Amino acid sequence: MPGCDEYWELISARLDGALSPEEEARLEAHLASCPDCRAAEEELSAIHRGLEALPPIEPPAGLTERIMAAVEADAVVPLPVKKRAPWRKWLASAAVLAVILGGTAVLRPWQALNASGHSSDSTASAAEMAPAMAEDTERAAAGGETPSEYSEAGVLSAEDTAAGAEPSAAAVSEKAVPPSGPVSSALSSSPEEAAPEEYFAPFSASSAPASPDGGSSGSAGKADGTSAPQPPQFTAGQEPQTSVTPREALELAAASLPESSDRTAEYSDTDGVLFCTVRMAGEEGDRQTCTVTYDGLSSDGAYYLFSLSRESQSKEPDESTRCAVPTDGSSVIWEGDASDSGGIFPASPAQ
Amino acid sequence: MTDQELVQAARQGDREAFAQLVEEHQGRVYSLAFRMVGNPDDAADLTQEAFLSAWRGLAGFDGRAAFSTWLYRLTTNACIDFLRREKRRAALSFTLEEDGEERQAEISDERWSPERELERKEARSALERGLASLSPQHRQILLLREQEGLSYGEIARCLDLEEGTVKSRIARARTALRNFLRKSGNFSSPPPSKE
Repeated sequence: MPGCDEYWELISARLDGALSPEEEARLEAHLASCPDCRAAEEELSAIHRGLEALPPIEPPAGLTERIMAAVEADAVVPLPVKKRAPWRKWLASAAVLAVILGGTAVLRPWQALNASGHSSDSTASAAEMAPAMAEDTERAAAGGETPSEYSEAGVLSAEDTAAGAEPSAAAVSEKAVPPSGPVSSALSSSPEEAAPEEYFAPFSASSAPASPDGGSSGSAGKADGTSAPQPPQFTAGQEPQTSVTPREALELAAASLPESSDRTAEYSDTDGVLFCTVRMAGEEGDRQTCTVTYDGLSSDGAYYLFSLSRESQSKEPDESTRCAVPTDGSSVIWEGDASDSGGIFPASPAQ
Repeated sequence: MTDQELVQAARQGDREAFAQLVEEHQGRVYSLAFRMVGNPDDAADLTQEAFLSAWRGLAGFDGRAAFSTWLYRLTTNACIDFLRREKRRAALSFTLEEDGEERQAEISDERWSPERELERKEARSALERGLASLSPQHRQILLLREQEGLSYGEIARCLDLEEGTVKSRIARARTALRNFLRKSGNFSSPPPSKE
């Protein structure tokens, strides 16, 4: 029946006890004369009761332990501390490494090493390695260069993306989001952390579990995760590699989205799909989630192509915008922009 | 200790306090995740992800709102992101096959096989199947209302929405579920005169 939609909303709200007396009266009056709505009321009510009665699902055994293990592995706190016993330093650097390489999958070899004792050899090499790790990640956060871990695990070339992730990449980057968020902001905010004397404290009673910069759950990594990395500068006669990686191009594309004060970005390249999720405030003050996905190279190989889908809490999602980044990382061209000279985007979107 | 006290302790780095919060809330979080994504392995991963987000975000957590509300937000957001990723992955592999090129699109993780998809839909009851057929947004809001028992106001805070939007979205979600159940023959009354 035309015009009954508004009554369905009242019916629904009544199930939740959210009707004003006037609305209640209006609904009752309508129900008295509308059999379709009476039927709707019966069925919606049955659905409501059925959903309420759905049994909770029992979590698997050991879930708490598993979660707490992940919490322990995440223990990176950038506090300057006094000189600690060597084994503590080693534990801290193991934690740093685990977070950098992404998750509990990689923690295991380190746990084994840790369990086997704290020999001075392993201490020395770990202590040497950790500053290098910290440096690497700093560089990654501050500029476009990706540390070697990522060239194996995270960043895929166009062919790799098409052919599917290599097994080692899949294993390491399982659910690993390259930590452009709290970890690198934690690491890069205090460069002196790299010095052996001042080290990350896994935990102390007085420390907060997350650094103030990287505190929010969405990882307020805007200082690092979304800043545009400098594209490589070339002059004639430089080495043959003159292109940015797809991941770097993605960062450029994500950075070219409108600025917003409350913005978080997460990168992911699970199993061959490289994309970035940016959460920010929309034009109307609602929350928006923009997903920029790498679609591959243009047919002439000159551009990395991306598509943007935008979902806001108050509107239906729209998925219609594309952008292109030349392989030298020199710009970001949004479809339909002044800079879109035509011929960049394929005639029909690659769906 | 109350949730608020545990949260305060955990903010100071007290892992034991956080473990208690995990113990207390993991059941509901897992249940929510499971009904969002439909299989136990992903639900467990997403539960872990939600708590890890909570741990990392404690310093920035308001403390005035309920910890559980915040936790459900982290959980459902993680689930929605996950579903979006999986949908893209399925689309990507399909595209490659369509291209007719020789490349094998190795799906190294068989969580998204057709069999798994079927398993996801073949849930215990028609109602659960109906839930699984909804869009992630509709599923999310119905679960928060019906399973977690959040009020419209709590859901509004949880999802950063206006209360009016919550009210209409819930109504639309229920209607969508009703349409599914009618089409699958689970309601005895005839289809409505006008959809």
